[in-house]
Amino acid sequence: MKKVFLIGLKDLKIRSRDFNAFIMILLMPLILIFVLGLVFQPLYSSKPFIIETAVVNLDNDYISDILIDDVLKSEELSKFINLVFLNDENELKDSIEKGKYAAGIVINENFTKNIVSGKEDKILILADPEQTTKSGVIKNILDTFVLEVLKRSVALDITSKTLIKENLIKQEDLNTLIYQWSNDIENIKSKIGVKLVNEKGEETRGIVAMDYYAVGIGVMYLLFAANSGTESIFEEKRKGTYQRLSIMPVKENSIFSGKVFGIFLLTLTQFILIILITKVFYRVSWGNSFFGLIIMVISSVLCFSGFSIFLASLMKSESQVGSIGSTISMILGFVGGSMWPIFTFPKWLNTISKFTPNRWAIDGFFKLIFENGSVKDIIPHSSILILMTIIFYSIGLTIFRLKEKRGV
Amino acid sequence: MFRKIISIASNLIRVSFKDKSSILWLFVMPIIWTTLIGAVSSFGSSGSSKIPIAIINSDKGIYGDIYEDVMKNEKDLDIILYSEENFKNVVNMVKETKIASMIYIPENFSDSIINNSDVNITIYKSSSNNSFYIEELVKKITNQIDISSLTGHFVLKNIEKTIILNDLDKKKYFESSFNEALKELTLNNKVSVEYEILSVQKENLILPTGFNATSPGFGVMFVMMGAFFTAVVLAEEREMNILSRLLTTPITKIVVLSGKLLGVFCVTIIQFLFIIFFGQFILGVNWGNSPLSVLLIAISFTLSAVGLGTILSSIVKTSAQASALTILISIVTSMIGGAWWPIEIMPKYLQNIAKFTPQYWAINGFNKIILRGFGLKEIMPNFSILIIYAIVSLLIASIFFRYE
Repeated sequence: MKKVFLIGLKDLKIRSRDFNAFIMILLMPLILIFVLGLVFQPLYSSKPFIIETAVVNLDNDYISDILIDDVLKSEELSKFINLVFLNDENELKDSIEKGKYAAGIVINENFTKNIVSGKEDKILILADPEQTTKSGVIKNILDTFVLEVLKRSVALDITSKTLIKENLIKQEDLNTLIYQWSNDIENIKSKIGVKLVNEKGEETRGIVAMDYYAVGIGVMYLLFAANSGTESIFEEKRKGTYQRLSIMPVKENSIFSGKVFGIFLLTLTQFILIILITKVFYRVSWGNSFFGLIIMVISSVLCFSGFSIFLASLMKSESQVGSIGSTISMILGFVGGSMWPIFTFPKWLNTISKFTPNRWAIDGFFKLIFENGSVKDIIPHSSILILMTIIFYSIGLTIFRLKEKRGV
Repeated sequence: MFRKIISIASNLIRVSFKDKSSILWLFVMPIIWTTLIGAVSSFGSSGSSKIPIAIINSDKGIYGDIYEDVMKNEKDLDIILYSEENFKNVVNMVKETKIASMIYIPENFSDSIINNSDVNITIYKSSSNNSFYIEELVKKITNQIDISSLTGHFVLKNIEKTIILNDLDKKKYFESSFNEALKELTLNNKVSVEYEILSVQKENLILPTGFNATSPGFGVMFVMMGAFFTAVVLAEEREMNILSRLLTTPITKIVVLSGKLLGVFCVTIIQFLFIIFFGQFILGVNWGNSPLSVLLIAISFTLSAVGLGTILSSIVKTSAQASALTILISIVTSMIGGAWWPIEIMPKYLQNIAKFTPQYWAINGFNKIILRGFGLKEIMPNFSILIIYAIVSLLIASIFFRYE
């Protein structure tokens, strides 16, 4: 037992001095988490980007003036909408095609008159194909504005129609009444609202991109780390140090277990470092349940070490582990939800993802972080991970034994 | 001299294509990656799968049903109805992101509408779901119901100024004006917002996603990786003293280096063309508006990637170091350069940093061709910047390249 321990520790020591391993399994995930967090933070928080918007206003009447002065130039929206005025639709089209503006708004001639007289009309948004997220925001704003306009016209229209039909007012009184009604409607507050809550029924505070990717990328790189450990088994066999160990008074089983223990230690150290560094420097919250976190960390580290042994049993050389191993790590990471939220997946992909250890590890960590979960919430996740560990490890070991017997 | 350059190059190409792991990274991985991410990110655009939304309607009156009907008419949503008893299960489904959100219509919904009192529709959304689309849609529909109710009450109020209505009449007038208003808002749409994306293909996507974004973006990333990986071979050959052995033969350093660079360039451009053809013919990406422009950007980008790869191979000490740095550098610069997501969503300062990566100029050029339908004239700035990038990096590479 002591020998197993010593071999494992020694392997960890060797790897920790290896500059390439340092880049691959520690620096790389930290940089990825940082970049992803930096890029996506504005999307998760309510701090939006600047939207360059051009307006061609051919109407210049009071409804379009309200849109421009009271909505688009309002204190709230002017923080992120940069408004420019152009005179001509062709000029607008031209500059959007060049990518100068994210969106262009065209308000037709007689827009106000048409609406007041109940004729159909529309506001046109021209969008830059490279900036449709931004122009989508403009579309939402205009949709809301149009609803506000419709509110007045629909309410006035239906009220006057009904009252005339019932002979309660006369046609000639309509003009004075409409003026008065418009004022009345301005003062009616909306009664039906929308409340947004998370699954626990709390009002949501918005999630931090850095937290999301710290978990996603952290889990994805567990396999990279474990693979870099298994590579060393092949490397030692190639360089003959493994064989040299076997002439020592150490059992073959102990050597192998020692190596496996080394992989576990390496992966564990990497993950703990990632958790610590992201906690201290990126201010990632890893949840409030310390024991829950420990259970999740150990079960996922065990699972990925097992998976790596299983992979190694199928490979012939360290370079195979390097290339095929990284390919599989990336694909598993993607399918398991490290980069994209699972709910955007088509159903078939969602089903497949449940066969990856990544999915269970990520779900478990999310439970702790975003839902303030405790130990009992993550028991299903860690049990599945442990079950997978046993399966991977026994298959891997069996194949290794078979190979050994055949003298490969 | 040229024959020697070509034979060195063709040797490198042969070695690269024999190596299984380089085939994996050059051809297999880009295909899997582009297809997977493209399939996922088409989500939310027209024509792709619908967004699953659950509704629990505990309202006893008619207005909850009306709300349901309006939701059902949204073509992007796949509405699943659940009864009140399943509340916990559905919340769990939201948590596990099996459905995008749950909409809860409260018990007193109809009563509140009839009595004109405050009421809320609740959206249950998982904390790990960052899409605003559903929220905006539900807000819009709720607004429509709100305006209809406002209209109903407004009509009642004004009728009652002159005559007194009994409860039955009240109900009749309210319902008819509510329905008329809702019809006006949802069907007739007298005032509307028309949204037109100025792209070559006239499909109106909500997000610039799907294969049109992933094919050029990840193409560029994997070509960068491909060029780097192939250049790593140079570091490996230096390690194994193959380069110094070559120098003992009667060929000059410049011939060796040109031969090697030509080889790396050929491998990478073959990879690039493969990715482009795969995108065009299998994924249906519209690469073909201006083949010459595509080729120019592809060549100039590949050249600059080869230059950068060679610089990398001269800096590093061992080939293992080179492979580790290859993945790091190519993924991170591709992310910043806009290969992973549309550049518009990044903060301004990152967008400015992006302009220093060759990926930015390549993707920007491809977007001009694929999305905007532009040709030679418009991509010239991109081409020139990439060529300058290539010349400078190749010059630096040839000055600092070490043979032993």
